[in-house]
Parts: sequence; C-alpha cells; structure tokens
Amino acid sequence: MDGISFAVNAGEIFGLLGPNGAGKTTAISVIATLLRGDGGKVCIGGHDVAREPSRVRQWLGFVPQETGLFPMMSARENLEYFAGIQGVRGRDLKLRISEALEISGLQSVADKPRAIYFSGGMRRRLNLAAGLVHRPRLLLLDEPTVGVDTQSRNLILQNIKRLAAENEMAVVYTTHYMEEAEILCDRVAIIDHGRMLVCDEVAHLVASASGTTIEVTLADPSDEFEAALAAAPGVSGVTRHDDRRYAVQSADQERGLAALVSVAGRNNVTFEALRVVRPSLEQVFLELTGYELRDGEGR
Amino acid sequence: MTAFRVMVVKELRSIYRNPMAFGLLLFMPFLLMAVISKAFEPLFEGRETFEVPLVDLDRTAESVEIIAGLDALEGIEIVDIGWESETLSAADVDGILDEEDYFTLIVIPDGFGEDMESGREVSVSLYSDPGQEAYSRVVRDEVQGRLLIEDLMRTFRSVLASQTGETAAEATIENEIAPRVEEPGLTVERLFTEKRKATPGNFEQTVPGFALMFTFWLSAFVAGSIQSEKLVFRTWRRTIVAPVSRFTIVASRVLTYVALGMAQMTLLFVLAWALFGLSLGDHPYALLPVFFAMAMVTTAFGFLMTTLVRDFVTMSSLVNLAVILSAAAGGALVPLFLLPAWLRAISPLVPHYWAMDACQSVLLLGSDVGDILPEVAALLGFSALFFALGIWRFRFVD
Repeated sequence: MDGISFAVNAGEIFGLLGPNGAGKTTAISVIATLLRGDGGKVCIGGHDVAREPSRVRQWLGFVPQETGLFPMMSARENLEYFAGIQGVRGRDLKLRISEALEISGLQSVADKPRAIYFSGGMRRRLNLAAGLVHRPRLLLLDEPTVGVDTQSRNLILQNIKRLAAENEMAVVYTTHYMEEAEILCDRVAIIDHGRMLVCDEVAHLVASASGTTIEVTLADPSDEFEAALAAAPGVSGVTRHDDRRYAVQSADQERGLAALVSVAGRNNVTFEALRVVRPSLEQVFLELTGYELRDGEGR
Repeated sequence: MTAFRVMVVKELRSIYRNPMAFGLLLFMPFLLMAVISKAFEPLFEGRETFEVPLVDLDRTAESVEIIAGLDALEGIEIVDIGWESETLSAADVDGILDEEDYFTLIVIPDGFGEDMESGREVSVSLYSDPGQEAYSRVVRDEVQGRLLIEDLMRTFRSVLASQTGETAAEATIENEIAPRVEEPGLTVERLFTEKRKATPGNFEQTVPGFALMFTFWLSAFVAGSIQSEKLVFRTWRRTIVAPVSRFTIVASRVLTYVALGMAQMTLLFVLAWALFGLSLGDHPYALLPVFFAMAMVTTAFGFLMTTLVRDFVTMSSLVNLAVILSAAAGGALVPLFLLPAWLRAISPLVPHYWAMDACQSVLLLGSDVGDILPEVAALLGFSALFFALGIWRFRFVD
C-alpha cells in the first residue's frame, strides 16, 4: 500500500472498495493489528496501532472474510467465547449475547450444539454477531456478505446501519458489491494496486460520474444503424448487448438522445424500448479501475 | 469470565465434542491393556503353569514314571494326549500343536524304558514352535532337570545294589534318597536388588505402556487445535485481534492439554488398579510427577508439530509416526527385553523410555518421588527442548 489516507468518524460507515488484489484486506489487516506496516501511521481512538496494539484491540470488532467460527460449538458458545476474550463478563455477557443473537436472527437455533450444521447464511450472520457482540467502537468488516442469500444480506446490512447509528460505532467495510456499498456507506475510498484513487461521499462520487448510458431495444436493428450511431456527434460509444439491444454512451444526456432519435429516423428504425441509465457507483468504480479482468490477484 | 478461562473452556468443549477423542484417548488404551495383557500373560507370569502335551510311544513303567515325575514339576502340567498309533510323523506333531494351540510337544520314543533299564543313554524329544523360544526354553530346562534326577537315581540304585544288595538298595533309595528328591533341602529365594529394576508382570508392562503411548497421541489434538483454528475454522485471526496477550493464548492451551494428559493417565491407572488389580506401589502419588512431565512433553511436541508442517494430513501422519516410534523404541508398546539390541541402544533418546522406567519403578519397586527425579528431569528436558524449538518457529500471524 502506498499513499492511503483516510479518517473514519464515530457512527460513520466507510467503504473500502477495490478489485481483487487492490490491497483492501491488507489495509484491514494493518488496522486490525494483524500486519505491521513498514511506514505510515494508523491511529484508532488516538492510539497508534504499531505502538499500542493491545489498547487498539480494545476498540476493535473484526469480522473476517472467511467465517471464523468454531463449528463444534453452538451459536451461543461461539458468542460466549468471542465476548469472553474481549473481556465481557457477568450480566453484561448474557445481555450482549442475547442482543447479538437477536441482531443475527439466530435466537431459535442459539443452543443447537454444533454451528457446523448451520446454512451459509446463518454462519455469515453468526460471523457478524461474533464481531460485534462486545459492542466495539470500530467494526472492521471484510466482505461479510460473500455467498449470502438475499434475506440474510438484507438483515446484515440493516443491522450494520442501525448499530452504527445507535452505538456511534465507526465501521470500515470492504466489499465487491458496489450496490451494497452505495446503499450502506456514507463515504467510500476506491483503491487499486495499493493506491487510493478517490475518497469521497458516495453521492458526490455518483454525481461526478462522467456521461450517460442510454439503453435502447430496436424492432429492426441493422449494421448500418449501428455504424451511423457510433459516428454521430454527441455519441462517445455504442455497445451491442445482443441482436436488438444497444448501450449508447454519451458525455451529455440531451445530445446523446438527440443523436439517437436522428439516426433512427434516417435509418427507418423503430424503438421497442428506451431507458436512460442513472450513473452508479459501479460505473465510477469501473471508470477508475478499468475493465481489465483481475483474476488471481487476490490475497 | 477471564480470557484465560474462556479459552480453556473452549478447548475442553472442542475435545469433548470431538468424536475421536474418547475412543483414542481412553477406550483404545484400556482395550489394549486388557487384550494385550492377556496375550502377554505367559511371557511375564513365568511361575504360572504351562500346559505341555505329551505323546508316549514307549508305554512302559519307566515312561509312566518319567511322565509322573514331569507332571509333579512346579509350573508344568503334562497333558497326555493318549496317542494310540505306534509312530508319530512330523505332520502328526504339527496337527497336535495346531489343534490346541500348544507351543511345545514332548515325545517319549519307543524303546525309552528298555534303554533306561539297560543303562543306555536315553533321550526325550521336545518339539517347539520356533516363534516361542521363551516357552520351549523353560520346558526344555524342566524336562532336562527331571531326566537328570532319573539318571542319578538309576546310578544310585545300580551302585548301591552292587554294594549292599538290591533289597537294601531299594530301602535306602525309598527312605533316604527319594524324599530328598521330592522335597529338596534347598530353595532358591527370589530377591530384588535396590539398583536393578524388578521384572514387570503383564499389567505392569501394558498399563503404563499403553497409557503413556496414548497420552502421547494427545499431541495430535494439541497440534490439530492450533492448525484447525489457523487453517480450517479461521478463528485464529479473530482471537489474536482480541485484547488478549500472546502468553494467555499459548498458556491456556498448554494448561488444558497438560491437565487432560494427567487426567487421562490417572484415570487409566486407577481403572487398571480397580479392574485388573494392578499394584500402584508403596507411593502411588509418585506417579503424578511422571504424569505431569509426560503431559508436558506431549503438549510441547504437539506445539512443535504445528510449526513444522502446514497441512493437516501430513501433520497427522507425522504425529502418528512419532507416537508409534517413541512408544516402540521406549519399551511402551512391547517390553524392552524383547527389542533387538540396536533398538535398545537408542531407547534413552525417546521420552517413553524414561516415562516407562519411572512408572515401573514406582509400581514394582515402590519408589518415591525422590527416586524417580532423574527420569522426571529427563522428561522435562524433552519438553523444554520441544517448547524451545516450537516457540522459535511459531508464528502468530502466518
């Protein structure tokens, strides 16, 4: 990593986005005191991660990418362990475990003797519960929704948002799912090859996305139409999705639409459907990190 | 709940829920103690009676007399199998030995009585299973001893008859010599020196042997606990980002497995005492330092193994190999005296040798804690070595 710098405030959800191998997990590992950087400084609650790791650990909740659970223990026993090593005890322990079970929707299976028999979604929810059972002031979430069904994902995202707001908990969240980051995060940083490309509020980033995409479905497409459209003024690119569906990129929405109507009229082409696609975080992400595949660049 | 206690409870739960644990750590050693003790019984319990089959091809008064003499010997019970044929082939011998699982067969040849009567050299055949050298040696010595007595009696009778006449000779033999032969005025008392270990019985061999061998298998659980948390369950990283010291993480495991190892050995010895009548010596508590030291070696070895191999299957195989090799070379699997000389020479290089020595010293010689300190120190030396290597190589973050 090089030149990555950001601050996360209490109650804020901060997204750390990047393709495979960008350095997200490395960044999380440095914050979590698992790795030591050879330069730079990370401070949590005023404590230097490198100098005072044990103090920093008192602030942390860590939800790793893989489900880090004891499969031969029940959900309650898992939570007892993770709360216990964080120093939660006595009445507080019971209260926090009950709260974490409720958050993860696992009350009814809390005492089933082995978590190994849980579904993937249940394990993911328990994974999250284990990271926040002690009410950390900083929650590090490393792709917590990978391989999760829609219902579980929805519950996880809702609870993260609620807990961050209610408990003034700062959240650093890494994910590959841009729509998730767009819904959840207040601010995001996009990193690639260990460098930070941008760091801003999600709304600002989306608003800054260049150009517009117009998706159009034709009744009678032709190669002539496609060539004429690509050459039309105001059109920066045409992508053919299938026989009849095209995506038209334009720097300006109005000029793009005008060019499309004009070329269609000249070529006697009839529209079946037409849709202007709103710029998204995914579009910003792809513009910044490129379309090149990143196979095998993971950790 | 302190973090230390939480970690100990977690380890105990993992062991308790592991379907292999009970079988490998308690059931298997107990089963082997019972079964192998039975198998070893004749090897260790030399004073018990051997059943020795006998074929009498001679069927004379002399042969009947020698059979009665052999049968009267302590430790030998002659089983005359009532062979009716005049001859006995090699196949017949094999058949007799196979039929009842005998290891030796005494055959009194045709002409035995006649040879004896005429003062010629007599012989008795002893067929033996070559794999049962220990048995055949005992039986051969007893038979030879008996034949020697018969030969001496015959010589006495002949010499006395030539000097005093047959009637007076028979009276002398019957009244003075025969009683001395039946109840000799000499005994061999078996005593044990202070320095040399007494020979163990079957349970004194198998109980410490299998208890120590299977305790060492606990090292697979130590290594498996760390490896699975690092590589399979992925809980290790979660644990080390908690505000818990590295010392607590390691010490909680060490304490758990040392306590488990001690409990395992104590339970097995107590079961053997209660069910098999194993004598625990004059100072049974002296076994506890041995159990402690052996549990430390086991835990340290498991800890070291996690640092040597990063894949589960290879690690399990290596632990299994180490357990069997150490138990075999150290005299826990089979008694030391059955091992070849070259293996006995390297026995002190494995922990089981010292642990067996200490246990048998307590069980057989009634040794107290002070007597077994060198053995305990040797075991603690092994554990210190394994821990030092393990700590040197161990990485909290891979």
